Amino acid sequence: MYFSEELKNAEKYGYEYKVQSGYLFDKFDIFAGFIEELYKIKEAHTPKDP
Amino acid sequence: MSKFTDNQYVILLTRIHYYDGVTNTFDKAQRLDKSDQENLLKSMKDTLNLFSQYYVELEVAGITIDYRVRENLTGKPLKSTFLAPALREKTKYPDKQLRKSTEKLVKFDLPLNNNYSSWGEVKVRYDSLLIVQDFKDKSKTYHIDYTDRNVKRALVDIKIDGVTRLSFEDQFNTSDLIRKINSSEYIIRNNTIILKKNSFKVETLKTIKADKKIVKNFITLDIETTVKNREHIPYCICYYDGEEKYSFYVTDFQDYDDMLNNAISSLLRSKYSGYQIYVHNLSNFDGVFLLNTLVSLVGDNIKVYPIFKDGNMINIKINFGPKLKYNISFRDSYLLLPLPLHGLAEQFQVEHAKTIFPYNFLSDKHNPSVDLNYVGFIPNVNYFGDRASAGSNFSKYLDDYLSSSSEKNKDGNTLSNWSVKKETVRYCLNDCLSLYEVLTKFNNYIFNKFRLNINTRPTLPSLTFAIFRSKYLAAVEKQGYYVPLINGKTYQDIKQSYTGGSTDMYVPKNPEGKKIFGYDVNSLYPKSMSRGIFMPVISRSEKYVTYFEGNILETEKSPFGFFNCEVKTTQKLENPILQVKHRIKTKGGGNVQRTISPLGC
Repeated sequence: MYFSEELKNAEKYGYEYKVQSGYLFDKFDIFAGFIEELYKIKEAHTPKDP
Repeated sequence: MSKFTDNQYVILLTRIHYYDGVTNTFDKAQRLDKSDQENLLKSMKDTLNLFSQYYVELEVAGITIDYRVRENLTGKPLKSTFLAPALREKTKYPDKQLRKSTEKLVKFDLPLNNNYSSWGEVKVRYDSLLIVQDFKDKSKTYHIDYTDRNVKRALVDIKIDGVTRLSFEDQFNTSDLIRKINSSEYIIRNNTIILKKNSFKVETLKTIKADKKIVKNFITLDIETTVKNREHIPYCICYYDGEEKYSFYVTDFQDYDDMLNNAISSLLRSKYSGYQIYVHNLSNFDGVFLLNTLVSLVGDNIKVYPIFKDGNMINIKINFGPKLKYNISFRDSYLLLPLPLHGLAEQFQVEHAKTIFPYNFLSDKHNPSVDLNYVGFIPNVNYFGDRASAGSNFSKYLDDYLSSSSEKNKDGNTLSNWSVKKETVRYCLNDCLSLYEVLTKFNNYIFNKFRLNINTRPTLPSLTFAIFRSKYLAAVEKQGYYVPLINGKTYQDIKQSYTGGSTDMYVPKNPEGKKIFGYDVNSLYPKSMSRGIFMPVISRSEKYVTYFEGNILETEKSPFGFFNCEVKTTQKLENPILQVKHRIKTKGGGNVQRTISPLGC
């Protein structure tokens, strides 16, 4: 079992695959807001800050 | 249950308590008789397994099993209501569901097309209704309703001797025929099923509410130990509740057990109910001492509920008082802030910085005559360990000691009046104050930024997840997407696609003396979670996940999900990408799992 995006990437490097079964989902970048805000906090502080 | 008579039965109700206060009942109360004995344990194990996968982000705090043994006084045999979990499960496994629908398709020998009049002899053709009698089986008729002909759809009932045995819907608005039986879907092309799908509803991750008030109800505690024959023995315990400082020194008690008992007992006050008691590195030996003491205190009015995970003490909850109505919890602050206390005090720039202490003076390895009543000349700098020699730590210690020590000996020399007891208590309390200030600053920061108190979660990852759920998950839901909670077989299947990170080693072969560049790549995890990097979710309109069999690429251009597939690798690739988990035999005859990236087939 592989994540679809991993398979799409592997295809670029010459892997071939034939899908037999699996699970389908919708997709959304759920962590975008969270990561952006945390990264801003990290960027605004020096490595010495906790 | 083995002692049961045939006339006895037991009423059983099992509840699972999660760390964040959520309680779930396994199932409705069940009535079990003697014959269910063997299945009971297995059933509970399976159900637990199911629940633990389902609430994978929640820590299980405990399980309560309520039971009552009853005599059957009705005079009639009572039926057991016990069912194995597989039978009780509300959601059937998606592939089982699909297999069932497929069996029906096969059973009714359905032609794989929508040319209904070719399925048999047309008996009725009236307005939007078509009734066809099967050529072979005369008792079987197909009733096709074309009411929605505009949307290219037909509802089909299969009747045997006039009784409907199967109903399904055919859609033919694309070049493929889509046949829907219950929650299963078949995509038919050229009289062949090219894809089977089964959609099933799943629970979703719930948002959590922000805290209204900042919580300051916590205590910091520290234990000092002396080393005797390589064994750590506690000889001082201190705590600080934000207002008062408390200290307990072993020479004031019968022994160290008595000291710990007194210290813990003094925490079991109603005014501390609901408090968290933070110990930095509780999972280390401090926790063992505390747990031993707590267990010895257990009685009708004191109950202890410890939670361990991967060798860490996540939480030790103590219920106490009349009807056990009060509680306190011991937590390991190292799991929230994984740095040594001196590092934390420095980074948080708190008032009480971590000081140094002559640990080795209290260890028989370095000082054969450890004396807990010692009063005399200040121990040599060597007893203070590595941190004393760093910077001006020792001279600062001397300054602090001289300014804090008002008692002078008869020569007027404070340096020869150094008391182990007094200095241990001073040092131990300073640690408590230092940790208290660190946690206060940390809690203020987290509360002001994210409206959550740090006491709501015991570890840094669980706190981060709580922040995501309370502040950011709602924004995702506003966009119409939900995070599915995957369990059971689906979880086991998808888990296979998760392997450890691929690592590689570079051995520099540059000529000696020639400088090379070194690159430190960091924040890769946040990068792979940032904008434009998609995660599997389900949408508001269709709160389901779809399981399929067949080649999904035949019907969808860029499907998103987890696929079971046959992979043909390249012959050569410097950094192979796709990994598989592979069991190999060890020299000792056992077998272990290894993750490999195979090439060349």
